[in-house]
Amino acid sequence: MATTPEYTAAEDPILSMDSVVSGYGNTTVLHDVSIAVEEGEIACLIGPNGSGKSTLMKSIYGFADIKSGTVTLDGEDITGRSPQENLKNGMSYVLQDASVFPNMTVHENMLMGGYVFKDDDRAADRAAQLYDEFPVLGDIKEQKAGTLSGGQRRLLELARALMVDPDIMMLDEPSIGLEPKFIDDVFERIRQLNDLGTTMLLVEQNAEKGLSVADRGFVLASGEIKFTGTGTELLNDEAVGRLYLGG
Amino acid sequence: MALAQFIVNGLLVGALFAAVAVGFALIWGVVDIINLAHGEMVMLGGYTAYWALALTTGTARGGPLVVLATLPLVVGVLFAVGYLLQRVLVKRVMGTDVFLTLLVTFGASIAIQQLALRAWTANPRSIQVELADPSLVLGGVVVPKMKLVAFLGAFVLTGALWAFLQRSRTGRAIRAVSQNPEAAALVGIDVEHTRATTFGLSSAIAGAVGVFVATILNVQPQMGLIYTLKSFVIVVFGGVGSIPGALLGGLLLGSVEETVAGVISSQWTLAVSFSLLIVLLIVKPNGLFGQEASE
Repeated sequence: MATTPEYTAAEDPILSMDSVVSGYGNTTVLHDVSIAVEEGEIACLIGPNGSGKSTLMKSIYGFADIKSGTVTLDGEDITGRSPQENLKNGMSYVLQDASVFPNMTVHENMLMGGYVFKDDDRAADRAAQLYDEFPVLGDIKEQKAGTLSGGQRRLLELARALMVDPDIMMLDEPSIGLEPKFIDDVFERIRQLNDLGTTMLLVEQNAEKGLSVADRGFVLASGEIKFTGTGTELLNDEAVGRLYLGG
Repeated sequence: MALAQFIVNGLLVGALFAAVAVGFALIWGVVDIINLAHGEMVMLGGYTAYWALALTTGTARGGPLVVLATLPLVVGVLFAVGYLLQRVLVKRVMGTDVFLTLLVTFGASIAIQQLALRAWTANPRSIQVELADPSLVLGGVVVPKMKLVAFLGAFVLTGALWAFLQRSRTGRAIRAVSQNPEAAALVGIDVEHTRATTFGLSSAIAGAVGVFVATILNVQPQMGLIYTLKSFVIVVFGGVGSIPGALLGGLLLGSVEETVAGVISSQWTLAVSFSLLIVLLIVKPNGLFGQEASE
């Protein structure tokens, strides 16, 4: 792993990738990628467009084809597992693109978040809990998701991913396309969730913002990990700053 | 009075076309495939019922209840046929050129037709329903009892599908896949299985209609094409992906065609219904219920 050995590495990771080569069909996007995230921390993945950040998350979640290497969750090999299994194991994922069901109401969207429970009552109970945490969503729960504003939709996507009460959450560019006031709101939510014990792995286009909330950071470029360290270490790194933070 | 008779005839037949079209619309809306082999499911359903009766009772005849008893078998067999058609064949061309998907389903329709021809010859076959008094007369309008049963059956099938989509867990998964397949996979839905299930359900309904067709008309290997064509017209008429639209479109098309056939001549039915379609597309390009594109 092309990393920065003097910086801090995770010692007892809850989630890790070891020498993963992955992509889609015949196309390889990630070349020998290794990362490790410790329980209870916020980890942030930064890097230029097209460097493979989304593919990294998709490789963990079961949306990409892993050609070699392993993905480990809580000591268990989860390489190539389906999203259904990952959700049941307490991992959820928020996609970068709009991923609501536009002709379903907010409430129906929330229930779909609990689809893997196979238990409608349990899903309804969990949704009710989440409306307490996100009163804005409770107010609009009968509205069709297709009519929501960008900020409301992102909140719905976040809350829907919480339906499985995840131990670990992956968020792909949670701030993309949002007005500045909503961006702070989203990061505030991420911090709150993390305080409650949810481990977070996020991809962030706004590298400085991402690293400033992160306990740990990874810099990905051309499908390879170039730097690994704590958020602060990477923020203060001269090379990272010059190459990836535009400083 | 003649006009009332034509319209009643049209509604009775139209409901069957509507039930076939509803499945066609569902596959189009959920899987994003125009299934040109859909009409063949009607044919296979008719033959399944015919042979089930012929092989168990020795003759393809029986009372109405005996005939209706073949429905569960037909629904099961055609569900499997539709499920496998998607899982084995159509899946391979998903997301490619629309031309390729049309070609594959068209190829499947020809293959099924030719196999049916080899297996069962081109002779039309029908199921004889034994009824003491085959017709009702209501206010001067003649209503054949079996057509009335078929009409009600078509409504029951369509209503059952509607309720299934709205209320069941699988129905919710089908709606989720139709609205956003990537998000459906994200929340843990097996998208391929759901698409194949949609094919299976749609084929099962078409097959059940085939049983009614075998009792009021007949079945023969090349009957499928007209059902596919009419489904296409009805779905474009009603709005792609809309079940109420397909139902209304089917009833409307049936009554227009029967009226034209009765008042002018049956040679004019296709010309009139396609002209009507063109006019509708100019006035309302998304179809009657087009705004609700994926319900």
